[in-house]
Parts: sequence; C-alpha cells; structure tokens
Amino acid sequence: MAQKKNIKNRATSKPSSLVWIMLILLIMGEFFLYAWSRVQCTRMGYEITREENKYKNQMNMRNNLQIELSRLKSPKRISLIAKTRLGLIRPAPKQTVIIR
Amino acid sequence: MKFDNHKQISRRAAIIGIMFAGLFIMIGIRVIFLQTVQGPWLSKKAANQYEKSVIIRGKRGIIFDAAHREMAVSIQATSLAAYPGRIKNKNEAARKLSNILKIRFKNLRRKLETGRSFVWLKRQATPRQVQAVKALNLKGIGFIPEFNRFYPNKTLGAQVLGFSGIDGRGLEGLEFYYNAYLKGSERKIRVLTDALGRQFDTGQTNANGLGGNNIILTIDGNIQYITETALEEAAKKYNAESGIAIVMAPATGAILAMAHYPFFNPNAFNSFSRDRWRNRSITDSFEPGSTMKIFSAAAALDSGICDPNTIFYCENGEYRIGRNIIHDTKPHGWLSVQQIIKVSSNIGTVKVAEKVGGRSLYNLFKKFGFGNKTGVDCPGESTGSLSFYNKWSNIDKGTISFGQGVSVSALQLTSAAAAIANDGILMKPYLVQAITDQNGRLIQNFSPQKIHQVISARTARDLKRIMETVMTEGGTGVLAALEGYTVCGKTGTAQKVSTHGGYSKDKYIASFLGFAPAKKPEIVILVILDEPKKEHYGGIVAGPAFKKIAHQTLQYLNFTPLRQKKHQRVLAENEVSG
Repeated sequence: MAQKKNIKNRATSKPSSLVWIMLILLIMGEFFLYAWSRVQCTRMGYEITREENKYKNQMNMRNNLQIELSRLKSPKRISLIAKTRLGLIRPAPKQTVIIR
Repeated sequence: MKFDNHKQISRRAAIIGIMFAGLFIMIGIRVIFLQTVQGPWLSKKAANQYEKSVIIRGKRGIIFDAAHREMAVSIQATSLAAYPGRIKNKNEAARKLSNILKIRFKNLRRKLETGRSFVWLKRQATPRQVQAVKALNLKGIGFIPEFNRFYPNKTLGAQVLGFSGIDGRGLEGLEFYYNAYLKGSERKIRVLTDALGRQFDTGQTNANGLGGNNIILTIDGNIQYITETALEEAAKKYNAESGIAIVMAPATGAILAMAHYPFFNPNAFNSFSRDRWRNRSITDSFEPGSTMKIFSAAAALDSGICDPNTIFYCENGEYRIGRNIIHDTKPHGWLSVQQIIKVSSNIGTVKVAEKVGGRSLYNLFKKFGFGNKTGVDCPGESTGSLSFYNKWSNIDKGTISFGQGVSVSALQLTSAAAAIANDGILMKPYLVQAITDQNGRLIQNFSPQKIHQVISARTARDLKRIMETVMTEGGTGVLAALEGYTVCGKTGTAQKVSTHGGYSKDKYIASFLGFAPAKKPEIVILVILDEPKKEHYGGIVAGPAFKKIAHQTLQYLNFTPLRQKKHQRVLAENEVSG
C-alpha cells in the first residue's frame, strides 16, 4: 500500500517541477522582454531627438535661404543689376503702355 | 560535553540570528525613513542629475512690407559663453580665443579669471568664429543658440522699422512700438540627459506656438526705394544736411513710403550716430514756409470770404505791419487768390489772412491737424507748435499764414495736404495694416480711419485747381510738373531760425508738397531738404525730387498717363471708323 502511494507521489511531482521551470522561464522571458522594450524605448527616444534636431537644422536652413532670397530680391540690388549689367533705363511716360 | 557544545552552538546561532534580525530591522527602519521622510528630497536630488532646465525662446515675428516682402527677420545665431570654473588653463584659452573672436587678450583673460560661474564671450558670433572655436575643443566653452535680427534690405526704411537689441527687444521705430506683438514668448522646460550629457527627447523641446506675431506694413518696398533714391540724389546734388520724403495714399491715410537721408544700416546700428536712428518725419518739427499758404487759402475759401478770383493788392513787394516789413521775392501789384498761391506771394497771403481773421485761420489749421498729434502708430510723435490765436500779434497772424512762427512735422503737413486731395476729408495716417500670427493667420486688421471733414469738397476742388496752376508757366513749381500726369503742388522755402536770434540769412529748408493725378489723387508726396547749399528754393531743390518720385510711383502703381489715354481713345475711334 505504501509502495503504491510512493509511485503516485513520484508521478505527480514530475509535472509540477516542469511547471515551475516553465514559470521561471516565462518570468525570465518577461524580464528580458521588458528590458528589451525599455532599451528600444530609449533608442527610439534618441532617434526622435536626432530627427528633431535634423528637422530644426533644416528649418533653419530654409529660413536662412528665404532671407537670402529676400536680400537678393532687394530693389536696390535689382535696380543696380538692371542698370549696370543689363543696361536698362526707366521708360519716359510716353514710352509706357499699360495693358489692362 | 556533547550537550554543552550543542548548547553553545545554539546560543551562538541565536545571537547571530538576533544580530541579523536587528540589522534587518535597522535596514527596514532606514528604508522607511528614506522612502517616507527623505523620499521627496532624494527624488529631487536624483532628478537633478539626469534632468536639466532649458529655456526655449520663440522667434521674433517678421515685419513684411505691403507686398509681403520681408523687411525684418530673425535668424538663428550662436553666442559664445564661458564657464570659467571648468577651464583649466585660462591664459592659453584666452590667447586662442582672442585670435578668433578679435577681442583683446587682456579683456578675455579678465573675463575668464572672474569668480563668476558664467560669462559671455561674444554674443551672436559669426558662423566662422563659432566653427573655429568648436575646432579648438576647449572645455568650459558654451555655444548658446540665440536669435539675431536681420534687415535684408539694409538701409531701406531703416528709420521707420527701427531695430531691436541683442536681447531681442525692440529699441527704435516700429520694432519698439509693436514690441509686445513681435516678441516671441519663453517657456522653461526640463529635459532628460544621459551620462554623456546628451538630451533625451521628452517631446517638449518644440518651440511651436512661442513665436511672435508678424506685422504687415502699408509701406511698399519698391516705392520706399524710389523715394529714398530720389531723396538721396537731391540731397547729394544740393549738398543738403538731411532730407525727408513721404508718400501717402490720400484716400486711406496709408503711408506708402517714408524716407530719411542720411540713411543708416539697422544691421549695424551702433556704427551710426543716434541722430540717424530717429524717424524725423514724425519726431521733428520745422517751420514749413510757403507750403502753409495753401492752408491759409483754404481758410479763406472755406469761410466764403473769398473765392479763387478775389483780388488783393500786393504792395509792390513791401508791406509794413507795425515795425516789421514783409517782402516778396518779386514785386507784385493786384493778384487773385489763385495767383497769390501760384507765385507764392507772402504779402498776398498776409492780406488774405487779415481778411479771414486770426480765429478762423487758427481753427482751420487745428482742423487740418496742426498742433495736434496725428495718432500715427510710431513712437515719439511731435505735436509741432501752433500758439493760440489770442496770443497772436498782427505780425504773427501775417507770418503764420505763410509758414513762419508755426512749426509742423513732415507727417502733419503730408496728412493735411492729403485732406485736400481727399475732397476735404482728413484721414488718420498709419504704417501697419495688419498683424498676423506666426502661421500667417490674421489677428488684427487696421482699416482706414476718417478723422473729420476739414473743408468742403467744393473748397478742396478749388484748392486743387489753384495748386495745379503752381505747376504751370510762371508758377514756382514748374520743375515738378510731370509729363503725362496732372499734378497739384506747392513749393516751400523757409529760412531757418538762427542760433543768434531771428532768421538765418543762408540756412533754408526747401520743400515741395503735392499730389497726383490732380483729378483723382492717388499719392500725396512731401519732399523736404534741410540746408541745401547751392540753391535754396523749394521749387528748384525739392521739386525735381518730387517729380521723380511721383512719376516712378505712378508708373509702378500702373496709373495710365493722360496722353496715353488720349492716344488710346484716338486709336479706338480709328478702329471704329475704319
């Protein structure tokens, strides 16, 4: 009778250790997953910061180019180019024909 | 013996157990103490190591001209600072930096040797300087991003725009007046940093929504350029000390151009004397001279006492009032009101004023806005000076009628002439037509404001006819007459008040005030030249500059010249008949 009980105990103890191992592996896996997601989160944070800086730099460049454009379009400069390089003169009232 | 050993071991184990239990209890108490009592303080201390405060500043708004061209913008610049405590070899650092930044070695070393934890080395350094300092790889040098104000058109409209200082605060002109709208706001945020000091995104560093508002001017960059070029040319030709020119739209009061000679560059405002910074057409007043005669004539015509053909005896060039004698440049006999204005007779104007009376003259001058602020949106406006008519002596009444003993600002004079051009309605002059947010959405719109009807539309029409004759042969303004457009105008030549008392014999203010086209005026122009040397008559000195501004501005605004209209009509008729 006692022998039978021992066999029964041995049979029931086997799956319980497996469950424990599985549980430990699961918890460890979860820890690794959590650590991995944290690392990913940090990495993404750095990437976002880098991209934002890139965006800021490009916006600055756009701003600077716009300013350069408005400097190049200044009436003084255009007038000077028209007179000196292109040899243009301002038309007299007689020479002006306004087309509507 | 065995029993004794066992007992001893048990006792030792109990002691060790108690010791450990005690230690655990102590640790437990400490943990509770750290978590509850010291928790917030420790959290803050830890946070300070991986968090830092950063101030984000919004960009100052843009100033656009009427055609949405940038007149003042903000660009990103880098300022160099030092944290002296972190610099090991200050002498060496100062030597290296002084070469790049072009700052004296002694000054730099003094800065670095101060006990302060932070000192500015150079605000808004050039990109080349920043690169060179970065290449030095010095410890304890900070590169701080800032905004720098930049005026792409340099001197264009500088006195109107004004400028802002190194800290982004408006100091002069519209930059000062509209500072509350233009300035960007600030936000203090905390960002995460790692052990290497790199910033970690917290999603807060975006400066969107912090930028200042933009303002849109009534000034047109091209008309401003036309005006400045003509003014500069006239001032250089006659070696004038300074000059002012204003172009205004009479129907609205919008100022299209406001030029001041000599110019200054607001990008380097410190290199110019303070006298050049001022918007003199608003802040300074002067004796207008003969341009005032049209307003005296307006008083006479509007009161109904005279009409354009009423004649006055001009005493052949000399007229005594008490102990004073008033002269004309040429002797005249009988002249009508129209001729008085055409030849600019002082005596004729005095006679007109005597007939009108001091009270009516004063009241109308006041209605035209003399002696009051126009209310233009610019700082430091002058009221000019017009004393109360009760205080006028007989000679005062006479001289005030032709522009002596009264002082006005250039803007007051332009605005008053605009009232004549605008059928007698005085409009409030303005420089800013709209304010938008940084994304261009309208925040505030400034529409034209009527002040009051100064003179009747009929009087205004009569005055226009009179002023048109000034430009015809025998008038003082022939040099300002335009080919293809009808022009109304009046010359002004005022002696300047001498520092020794009385009027100077060789210092004059030459001016020309007019509008075009005569029938439906689109632009009112005033040109003033201070102390011209070779000639001093307004018609000769300022008239041609007026002509140039009027011609080029009307062309730019696409107003068809009269002759072309006739030419077109002839062509159309031929086409129909053919």
